[in-house]
Amino acid sequence: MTKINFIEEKKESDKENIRSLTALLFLITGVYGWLLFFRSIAGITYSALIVCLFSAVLCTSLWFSYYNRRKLFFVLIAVVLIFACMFAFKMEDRLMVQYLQIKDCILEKTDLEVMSVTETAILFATVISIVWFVFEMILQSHVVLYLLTTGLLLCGPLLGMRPGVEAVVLSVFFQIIFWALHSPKRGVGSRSVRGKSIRVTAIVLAVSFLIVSPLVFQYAQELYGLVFEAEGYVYRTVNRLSGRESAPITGGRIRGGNHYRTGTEHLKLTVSGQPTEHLYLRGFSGGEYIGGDWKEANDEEVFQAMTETLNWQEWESWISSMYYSMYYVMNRNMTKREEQNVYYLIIQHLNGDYSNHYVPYYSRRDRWWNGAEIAELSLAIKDGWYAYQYFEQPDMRVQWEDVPEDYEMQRDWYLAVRDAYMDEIQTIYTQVPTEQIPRITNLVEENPMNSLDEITSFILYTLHSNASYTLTPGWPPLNEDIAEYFLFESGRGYCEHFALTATLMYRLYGIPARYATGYMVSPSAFELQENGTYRAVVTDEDAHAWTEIFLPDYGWTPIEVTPAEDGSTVAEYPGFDSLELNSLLTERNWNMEIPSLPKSGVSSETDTETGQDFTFDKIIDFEKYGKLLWILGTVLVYSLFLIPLFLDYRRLRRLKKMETMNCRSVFFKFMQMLHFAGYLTTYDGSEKEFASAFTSEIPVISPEEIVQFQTIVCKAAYGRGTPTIEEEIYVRNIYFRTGDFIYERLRWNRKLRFRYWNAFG
Amino acid sequence: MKKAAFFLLIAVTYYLAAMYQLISLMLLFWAEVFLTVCMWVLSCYMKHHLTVEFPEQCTAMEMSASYWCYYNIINSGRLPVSRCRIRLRARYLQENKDKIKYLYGASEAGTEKRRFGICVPYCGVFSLKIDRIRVYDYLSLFFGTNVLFKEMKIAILPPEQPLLIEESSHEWGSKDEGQDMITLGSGDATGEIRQIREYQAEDSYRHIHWNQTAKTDMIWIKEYEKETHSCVDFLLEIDAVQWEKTKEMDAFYRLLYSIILGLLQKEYRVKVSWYDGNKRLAEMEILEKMQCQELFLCLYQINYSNLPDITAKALLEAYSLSHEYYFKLDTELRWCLNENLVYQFSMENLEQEITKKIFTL
Repeated sequence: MTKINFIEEKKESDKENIRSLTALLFLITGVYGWLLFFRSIAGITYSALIVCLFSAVLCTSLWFSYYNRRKLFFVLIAVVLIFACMFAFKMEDRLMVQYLQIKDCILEKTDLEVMSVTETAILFATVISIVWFVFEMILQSHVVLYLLTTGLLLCGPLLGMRPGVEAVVLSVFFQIIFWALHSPKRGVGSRSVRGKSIRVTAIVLAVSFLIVSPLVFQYAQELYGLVFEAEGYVYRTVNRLSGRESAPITGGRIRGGNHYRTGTEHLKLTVSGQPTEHLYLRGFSGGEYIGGDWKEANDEEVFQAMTETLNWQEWESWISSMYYSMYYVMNRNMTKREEQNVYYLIIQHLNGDYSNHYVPYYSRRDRWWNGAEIAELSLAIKDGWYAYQYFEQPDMRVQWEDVPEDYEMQRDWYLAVRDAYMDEIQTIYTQVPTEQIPRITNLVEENPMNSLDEITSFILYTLHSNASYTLTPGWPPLNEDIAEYFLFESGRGYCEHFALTATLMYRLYGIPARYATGYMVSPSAFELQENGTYRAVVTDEDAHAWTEIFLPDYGWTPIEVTPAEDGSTVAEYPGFDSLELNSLLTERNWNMEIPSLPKSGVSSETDTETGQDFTFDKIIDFEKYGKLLWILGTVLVYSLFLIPLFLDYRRLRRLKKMETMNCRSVFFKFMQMLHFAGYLTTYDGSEKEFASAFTSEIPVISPEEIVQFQTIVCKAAYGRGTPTIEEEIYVRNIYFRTGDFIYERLRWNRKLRFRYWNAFG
Repeated sequence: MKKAAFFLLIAVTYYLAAMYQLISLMLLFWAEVFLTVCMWVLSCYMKHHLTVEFPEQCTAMEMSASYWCYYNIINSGRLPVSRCRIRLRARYLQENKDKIKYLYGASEAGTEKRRFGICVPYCGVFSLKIDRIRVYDYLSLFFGTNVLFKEMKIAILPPEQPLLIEESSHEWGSKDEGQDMITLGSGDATGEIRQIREYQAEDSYRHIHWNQTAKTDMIWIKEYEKETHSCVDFLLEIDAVQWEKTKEMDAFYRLLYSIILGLLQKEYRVKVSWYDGNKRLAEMEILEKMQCQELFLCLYQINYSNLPDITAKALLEAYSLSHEYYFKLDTELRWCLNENLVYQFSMENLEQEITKKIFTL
């Protein structure tokens, strides 16, 4: 094909294109967005007035010097950087303390007191003001800052930073307006087009915020719900496709996200009689807790330790089996056979995976069923089903002192096993990583309790007054323990979070406790079968987590710390019921309706004293002089920094405007200038002797020139034709030459007025 | 890509807003969604109000380094357009394939005159078409496309390089080195003597009025009526296959223009004849340079690709029979006198041959 070349015409230089006050305004907006975001970090604060003023002044100075006094710009950058280095050097110790505080607040999320970091914020403002200016105004590259700002807004919550509405709004204005500013192809489009387009974009964005704000604030929960529904749909679809939905619930990992149920059948239970209470089937017990994950409780270690205590030698192997069946056997031997209400339970895993077994409380593994069910039992054995005999909690009547004589020797053995077990678990199952959960540890330390009932009441009060049950609590931050986030910040969670927090609190109170997961089956789920047994199908909706504590007469006993769906408390264990709970709540004046803990994660709006040697806040006694001082300070700072810049900018604008002024306007200004400087105050310029008087006062202009000047102005004022371009230039030339002469002869204060206030030259 | 990344980011914003129950991010998401919808509406609005046109549909210009082509962006809406992309298709008429160029522009309300430069290597008719304009919103997220059919044809005339032609100073044709002697008929000086004047440096010795010169001490020259406005018949033979080749035709046009200019410089009238595709021979008499533009516009407009060869041949044969002496130039760059080859020009050295070679009539 023929080689044809095109040449595109560029209209204006790019740099000129973005020189506008609107761009400066939105540049400052972007810097403020970051500063406000920085302020939203829990545990730190700074004087917003000082920092924001400083950054505004810096940005304005940079902008002004870059577009109007290019040489001054580089001097300004150098001066600012030198001052920043000197400032950092001078305040090194304090900055280091503040840096460590900020680091701790961001990364470790410890329960630190709020500290003022004004000095660090000033340095931060300096850096971002310069960087923002360089990227947006000089390099004209918006992508980097757009992505950086978006990354900050989106990654902040992952680190526990919750940006406020004002930070987000300012940041978005900055992002969108500069996007619109840089969107046209380089070198295409006039400054006017760009100016208009960014104004339209700003208006559209402002209208967008105004329209959506009431809707978002009014229907926030519904809007969150839309995401949860979508995520749930995706979760269920993925699980269905991958086949994971039929997997039984195991493990001790605390899920951070939402909990979506699929309704998939996991287990089939066959019970010999109608259960009267919730049947807890434990599949996992948590031992050691490490950052949102429970290691499985290893009773074998406990038994190993018990062998040393008991010293049973050749009977050591009996310890574990005796322990597992101890409470069932003791209870069975305590009651007459006809009074015994033993439940026979067969558990069938519907997915055929029997790698993990689910165990009812107060039970013993059994291979026998009653005679009528032998055929089914044999089938069960073949298919991997397994069976337990168990008692319900109300049927447990273990009385260690009151046993038949022929059973006393066995009782003593069991008692020895129990006591040895209790000794061991007192150490093992009360371990808590306190450094991971400092706020919960503090809470427990600040609220000492005397008895198990009091402890349980306090835990329930703390949990239920500060947290609500939901299957969609959202994600916790990556740098925060999920229990702390659940209790102190989000206040939303499901059974795993309630059980986790309760277990940790029990342990901190010294009560052996374990985190347990498995299934909780309601009595109503069981249906009578033709053969007289009751059958229930267990789905993933029955999956549950709870806390179990060790009671001497019951062994490990489940405590329901998760509130019911209606918010009511259902926790019970032998000797403790709702009556006991209400009594203790009343006695301690604990109101479940009122949150007992302040929610953190929201930055303090007021500056606080930090006890450090030097702070900007201390220079100005805020308490004493109030806000008036701040206002005066603001005015002073603006006067010192911004007004000179503004006046110089105004002067340049006026001088530029003179280039398009007609002769008459120039002459009018010319006479104003003469009169201001005290020259020819009795003349108005139309007199015949004006020229001679003028040249005697202003010798730099010759009589011929001033006559020519007068002639042109007269022609413009009274003549038929209009002055030519050359004549217009001639008039302006006379004006400026006269102005230079006058300026040189003025006193310094009048020079300032001449130059900056009246903008004569 | 940018749009996909933006939508991905606002989707992530919504997800995180819900997961952390952050009202600020939720506000951001819906504001951005609203803004996006507004930008789409804006792009539709601007699309309906923006069009492009050429102020001139046809123009002719001499071949040179580059030309400025003007076009108008007309924005009938009230909002400015910060970005639009104009698709420009450029090609020579004979060629089938377009060269596509995208021009970016912006426009305030009203009409804005813009231009672009173009460098074309060959002469001929050059077509510029604007067939599509994309109008972007202020964030360049969306665009509306207007399909247009705006065309401008530019006749690129050959450069002005007259062939170096000399009238022979010898009575008999003899060739010097670097010179080609062309014998045009039986002699040029057979007409009426218009006047006798003094000799000038460039005058041919043939025209010296020897008798008068012998009588006086000065050399006198006979100036003939026929010689100053003698007519040269010039037949063009354009081959359909060659016509489709832009480069070959460029050489043909350049050469033709050079020859005509060379002849005009020597004050010949040139009567050019060519087959015009309507079963007849068109002819045009060129007396001055300005008429060349007209000639070339006529030649450029003929589409030779579909012409029946038989009619053309017959007509050309008829022409040759009816003219005793005539020049013929064909698209193979053969310059003939009647059917005798005067000189075979080559495409590779055409420039040199035109500017350096001297042809003597």
